Amino acid sequence: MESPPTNTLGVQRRMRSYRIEGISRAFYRLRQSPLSLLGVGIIVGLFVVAVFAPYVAPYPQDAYIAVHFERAFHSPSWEYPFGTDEAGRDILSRVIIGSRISILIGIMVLCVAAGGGVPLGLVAAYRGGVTENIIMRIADIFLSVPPIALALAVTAALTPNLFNSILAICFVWWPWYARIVHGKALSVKQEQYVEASQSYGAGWLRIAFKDVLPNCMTPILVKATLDMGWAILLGASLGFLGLGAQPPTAEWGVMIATGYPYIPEYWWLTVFPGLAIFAVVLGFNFLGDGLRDVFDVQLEMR
Amino acid sequence: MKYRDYLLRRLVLVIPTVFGVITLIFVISRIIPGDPARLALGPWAKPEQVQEFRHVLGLDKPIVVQYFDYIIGLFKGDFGLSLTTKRNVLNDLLDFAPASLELVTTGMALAVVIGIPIGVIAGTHKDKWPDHVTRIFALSGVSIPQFWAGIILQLIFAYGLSLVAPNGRLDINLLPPKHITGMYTIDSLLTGNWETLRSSINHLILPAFALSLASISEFARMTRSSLVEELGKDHVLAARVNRIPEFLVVYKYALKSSFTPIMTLIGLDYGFLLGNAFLIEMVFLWPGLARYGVNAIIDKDFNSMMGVTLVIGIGFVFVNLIIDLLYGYVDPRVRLRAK
Amino acid sequence: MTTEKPSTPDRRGFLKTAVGTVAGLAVGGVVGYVAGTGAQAPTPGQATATVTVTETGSVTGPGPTGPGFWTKSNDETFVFCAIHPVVNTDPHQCLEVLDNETALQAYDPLVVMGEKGVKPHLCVAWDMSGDGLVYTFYARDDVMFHDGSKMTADDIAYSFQRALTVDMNPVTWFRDAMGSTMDERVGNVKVLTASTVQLSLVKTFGPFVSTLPLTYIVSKKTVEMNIKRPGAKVNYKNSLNGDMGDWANEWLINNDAGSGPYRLKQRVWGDKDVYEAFPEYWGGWRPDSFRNLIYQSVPDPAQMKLMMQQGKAHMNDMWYPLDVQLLTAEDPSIKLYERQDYGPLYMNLNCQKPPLDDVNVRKAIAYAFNYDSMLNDILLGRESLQLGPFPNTLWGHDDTLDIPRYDVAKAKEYLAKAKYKPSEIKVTAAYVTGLTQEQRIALLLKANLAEIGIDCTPQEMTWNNIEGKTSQKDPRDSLDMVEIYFTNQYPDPDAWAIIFWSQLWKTGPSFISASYYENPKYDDLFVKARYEVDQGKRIEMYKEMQQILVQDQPALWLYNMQQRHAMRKDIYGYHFVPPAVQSYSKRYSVLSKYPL
Repeated sequence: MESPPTNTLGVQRRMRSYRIEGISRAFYRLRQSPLSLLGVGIIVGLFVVAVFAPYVAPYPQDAYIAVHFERAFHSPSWEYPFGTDEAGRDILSRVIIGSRISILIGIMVLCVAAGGGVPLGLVAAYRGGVTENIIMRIADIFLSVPPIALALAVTAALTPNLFNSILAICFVWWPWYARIVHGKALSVKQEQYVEASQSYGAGWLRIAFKDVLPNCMTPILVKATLDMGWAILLGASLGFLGLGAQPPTAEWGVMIATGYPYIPEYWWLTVFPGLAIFAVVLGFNFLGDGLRDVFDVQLEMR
Repeated sequence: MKYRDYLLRRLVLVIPTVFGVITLIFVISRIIPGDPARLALGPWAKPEQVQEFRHVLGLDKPIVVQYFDYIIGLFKGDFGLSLTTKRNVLNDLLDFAPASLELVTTGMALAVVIGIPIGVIAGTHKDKWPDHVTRIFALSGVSIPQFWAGIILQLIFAYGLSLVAPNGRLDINLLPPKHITGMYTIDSLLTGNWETLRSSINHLILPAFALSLASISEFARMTRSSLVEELGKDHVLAARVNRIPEFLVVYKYALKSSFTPIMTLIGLDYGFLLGNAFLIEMVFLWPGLARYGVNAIIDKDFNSMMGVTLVIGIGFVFVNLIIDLLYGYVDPRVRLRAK
Repeated sequence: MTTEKPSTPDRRGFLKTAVGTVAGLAVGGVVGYVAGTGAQAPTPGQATATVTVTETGSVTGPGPTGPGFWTKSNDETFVFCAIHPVVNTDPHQCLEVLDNETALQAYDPLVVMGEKGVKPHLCVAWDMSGDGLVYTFYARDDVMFHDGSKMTADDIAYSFQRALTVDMNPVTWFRDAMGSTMDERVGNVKVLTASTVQLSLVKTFGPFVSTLPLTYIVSKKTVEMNIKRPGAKVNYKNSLNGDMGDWANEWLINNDAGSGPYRLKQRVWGDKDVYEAFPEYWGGWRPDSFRNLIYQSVPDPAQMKLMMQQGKAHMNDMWYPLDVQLLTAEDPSIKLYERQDYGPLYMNLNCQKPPLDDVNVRKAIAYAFNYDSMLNDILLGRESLQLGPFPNTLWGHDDTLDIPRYDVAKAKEYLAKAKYKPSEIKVTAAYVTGLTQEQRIALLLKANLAEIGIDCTPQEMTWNNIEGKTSQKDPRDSLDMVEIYFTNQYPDPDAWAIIFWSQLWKTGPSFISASYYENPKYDDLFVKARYEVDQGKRIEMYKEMQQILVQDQPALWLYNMQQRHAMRKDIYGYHFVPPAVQSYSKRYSVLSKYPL
């Protein structure tokens, strides 16, 4: 039997790094939970549909220019599984193509909010003093206002459209990330390896991003997954109120709003887009819930 | 540090936060494009009339002066003129706030009354099928888009089964009860007006339930996890060994210790519901504060916007404050960390 | 080995089941109580002798007079579903169509609109002087206000002075003819005798009398009693009456000072307005009229449908979407009332904003639009196409106009002549949230324009936002294309011709002048026709103006709206006379659950 490899100091070397082993162990536990797998399935399905949307949708033109008033308000049938809307457009196609917008909202919000909030939180934790106070007070003020109300106010101040609504949601979201990272970074700061880095003269920037950040990743990851769902929900809510994507864009929230005057006779205009939102957010929540169990993270819920 | 010091510190911090909220919303409301005076006077108004009205509204003064005028006005009870209702925003707030309060309180009550028993069932049957079903239920409740849930409920219960009313607060041909609290259910009860009572409950059920969906899930999950933790403890084991019936074990011994987290969750959720009620108010046409606020934003009625955000924002701040204070009282570590 | 304790009839278990059953019963009981709706049996009608109701709502024949007429047995309430809540009940500040309708219940105007033109109402007759500058009105002597005082010429003059000082719609229609300053105008309102009022003009104004039906007469006594001076938010003053404080504006928001058949009883802000019958109404009552009136705001069309079908509401607003109206009328207990109104829908084209400043582009758009598809698919054949700039059925309409119709080839022809290439042309078409016909028309336009290579984006906006945008001083900051119904006018071609008068947007831009059209010849004709008193000459001038407009295409002439209400089959007496906003038929004292 071959003896395990040793490094120059004669200490046993691990086959894989500790971190990678931790992650693979976590994913093993994740695989055990059927709900999480279901969540992953839904999310993967969503991404596939969104990427291949024009090929998957039976009447892709209906999501853009085409109108067919002569076949308006057809109830769900084999030809139009989700029925047709007030302009005769196939609702299934619009829902499929609408998934692109929802994904866009989710990804953009995460990138900007996390991309902005995380560094801010790190800087606040590491620099301390006045910088910390200013950043965290501003975060507090933003956190004091209910998220949807703030998103509303910002969108209304600017012209209501998809881009501005994404901007508004980012505005609302970044403080959460800042706060989480700030809290975790504060505790990590005390750890020995940070002291070690400091001792051999690493600048605070390097320490912050190389030592502290990777250890904050787990709560960020869990929150990001859950947040993707919330961002999509918030985007759809703004669309429903007419402050996000604008009609006739095939966005799920907008479709529900346009279909609302026609209930209950033409119920399919509102039911199916909402079902899509529900399914997608559910998927993210299943996965996020599973991840949270796996990483056993203490998180603020909102 | 002593609790008293913590209390003082926390209270003092409220003031800059409140001012921060006011300033933030003020800035947003003033940069909204469009001339509110012009809109209020209609299409045939002459430019001189518009100028005069702008003067009445105080819009021709420099923005800093407007800001201080507004703050001072607040203390005097003058919240500015609403452009849509043409009266003092304070009157509007007093009219609409009880409606929102009624809705949110009922939603909260439903969440507690439905959510906790569900959580108990899940907790006592951990890892068996009721637990899994409850978990899916809870996750669904949180994932479902609130406005869509409201529409589905309307479709099924109001239009489909004709059990309850779809929108509004009261039947068309009924007048509101005498104004004591502004909440129709309580006022009808207090004045013995049974028809109005029945009608107002009829209208209240659906929106309150739709509002409570997410909170039901929260309560269920929290109850479950707290219960699971408690049931693993020694004193519960001791109770079981002594043949105390399971029902008592759960409610008297385990659940009672969950009391504090439940209370804090109620407080947290109250603020959450207040801030999220407006999607429900929009769908159910509930004439509450949130709907008034949304319409103010859409119609660029800047004074109303300020008024509503002020009320909600400050309410939020105070709820957070109370939570923090409660936490500080209960958990000494929080106090120490705040040093 | 332990022995199991024998299971005693578990007291706790018993309590559990008992409590559970009681709770279950209680919940069930509450649900049943709440869901149950008590149906009220309709009260039988009263036998009537011959009663006739005139076109202007006066009742002749034996009818009730005096208090105490309504008893428990005929205490009926009429419920009207409106798509917005009532905003303002000050009768001289009614900007919205609905505000005018509610004002009509409690107030009377001097004259009203009948089938064939203006008719006297609070006056018995009027004279116009030879030069067309002095109008003398002879007041009725049997009109009593809600406060018990009798109407005299004083009240009429006072009301006009107040209206001219408050200076809002609809006074703006005729104020310029009465003078150039407020003091001058107010000075031109004179009391000659106890029953004669004189209104003097500074220049002749053809449509003058037809612009009067929305100026309501208020009781001087009541208004004076409720004037608030110190601390008033608004301040009205003129040289004649002096400083009038808020001139009872604040009081009028929750009360009325009128002489009409109904009295404002209660306002539930943003929700409903409740009116109660005034038995001493001078116009008389049908014995089976409604005692109470409720204007209920029901912004949700689906709920409106439910309320109507359940009999909880009796009539609805014309602004509900067409499909919902038709769906509602499918119910056997509901009938649909339709009558042609003067309500054209225009798609205004911003003539000052590139690329719409080129007439060829505008013409191309006009010929690219599929009018038949709009009529048959969107409007389901229930409306009629607009045949030119002025309403089809209004006098002065030129029937020989060459209106654009769907012709893609011709559209491309015009486009080729334009100074912009199709790829450069990007326009937005704005429409009002909630008006589903407008929304679908915008979608249709988008599809049609794509056929000729023009990029058109529908833009949904709230009415307030549209008003805001179209009030921009610089036309280039305003909207490209916007759909607007022009119903809020008086029945004279002048009311629609003014839309295209360039002075309107140059002095005070608004949604009315959203076309920003300018043509000096047109402006010239407009002013001439306005101040001309001879009807024949005016018709000639309006015909010429229509020809000019058709050539220059400042807007797309879409369709002419019907006045459409869904109402319960057992509501009788409604007879609509255009135009919508002035219609005296909106006075609901003429309605009843029983036929005459």
